[in-house]
Amino acid sequence: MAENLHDTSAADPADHGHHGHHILSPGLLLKVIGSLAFLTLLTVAIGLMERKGIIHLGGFTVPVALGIAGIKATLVAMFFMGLKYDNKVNALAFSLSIVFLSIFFIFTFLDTGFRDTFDDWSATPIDEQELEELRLQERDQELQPAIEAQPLVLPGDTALLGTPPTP
Amino acid sequence: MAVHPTTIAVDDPHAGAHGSHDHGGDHPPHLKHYFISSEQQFDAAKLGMWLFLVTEILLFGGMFVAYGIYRSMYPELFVEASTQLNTVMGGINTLVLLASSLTVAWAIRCAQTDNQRGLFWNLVATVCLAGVFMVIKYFEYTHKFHLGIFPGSHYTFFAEGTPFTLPGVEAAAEHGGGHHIPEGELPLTNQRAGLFFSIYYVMTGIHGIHVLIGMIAISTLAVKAWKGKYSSAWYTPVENVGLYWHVVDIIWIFLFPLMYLIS
Repeated sequence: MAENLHDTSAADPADHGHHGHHILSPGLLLKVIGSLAFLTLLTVAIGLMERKGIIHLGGFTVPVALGIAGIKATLVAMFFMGLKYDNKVNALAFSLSIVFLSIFFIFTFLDTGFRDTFDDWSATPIDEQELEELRLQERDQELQPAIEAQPLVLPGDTALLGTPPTP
Repeated sequence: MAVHPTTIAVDDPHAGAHGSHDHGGDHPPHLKHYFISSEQQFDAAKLGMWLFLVTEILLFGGMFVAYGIYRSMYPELFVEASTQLNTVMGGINTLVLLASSLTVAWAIRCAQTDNQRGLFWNLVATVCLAGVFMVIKYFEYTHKFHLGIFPGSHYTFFAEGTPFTLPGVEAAAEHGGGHHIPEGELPLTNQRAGLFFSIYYVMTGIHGIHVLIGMIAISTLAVKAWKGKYSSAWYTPVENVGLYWHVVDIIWIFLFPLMYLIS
């Protein structure tokens, strides 16, 4: 009955998707770890060669590094985590997290990436803004004695307008 | 997962076993009464684990977004600061974590094939590999602390003649400076260096905490596996902790090139 159902499905490796107990073969596990190790060495080699100036990827540095990392993550998720053989609802949950992460990224960069597009100076780093404010405050303090020395009402004005009422 | 009504009727292990918990028959002891079958219980537990992993991905996602914003603001700072990280140690750690993912996947295979010894030893190997990862991380961290590479305004490992224009940075550098610079070490000339290391320490630190929690969880599994608690009939905790461990691995897969391999 229940055992029979499990037995038949275990005996037929092509019949995945109907149970959560797909057993990975040692050969497949070793192939996956081999690919992961190779991709790790590849990304290190590319990174070090670029740092030493042997190759120049320019604007593709980050996409290449993220691409390799993405392939590695996909291998781990598909085989080690079994998403390939699993109930599809797990893959859906995982994919949705990636979708929402992408929304998070895209909308944040729509903000930070276009901040000075409309003559908005808020893209200036906060420390530079603070520095500018500090400079303005210091100038105010320097000018303060000169401002205070200036009488608010000059003698000529009193002749014209009469003596100001004393409080 | 389509279960035919007839299958339920035939499959239901609770049938004829109501009113008692420790009854015999074909009701497996791990099966809760509110599940139709072991299969359904396993799938439900696994989906719950996946939902938790989604929150983990979003937690680290927020930090990756912060990384992205600051890297786009200060690209030259990230290139310069990244040279302070040891690529060899980071690369070895990547391979160590990948190997630990393999041993976890192998442990699950052993559980599925009722190989109790294999399950135990693969779990032990996973804990050991995680330990190697943490030891390497420890050496990386302490070496940086020794040089004065701290997060934020506590960063003091500046080269002589670094132009200081930001308020507070020079004072911090002078306060913590004065140490001799070991041979082969390149101090930074970017006064915002602490910014990169704030992100570095927070991201690798929270990842490290996840590794520690994983070590505790996998050690617990190993003890229970030694006692023979898991078999092909029931190994849900092994499966779910395994999933968690793979996510910790995946996060490091992205952290490694983004931190250590910037050029």
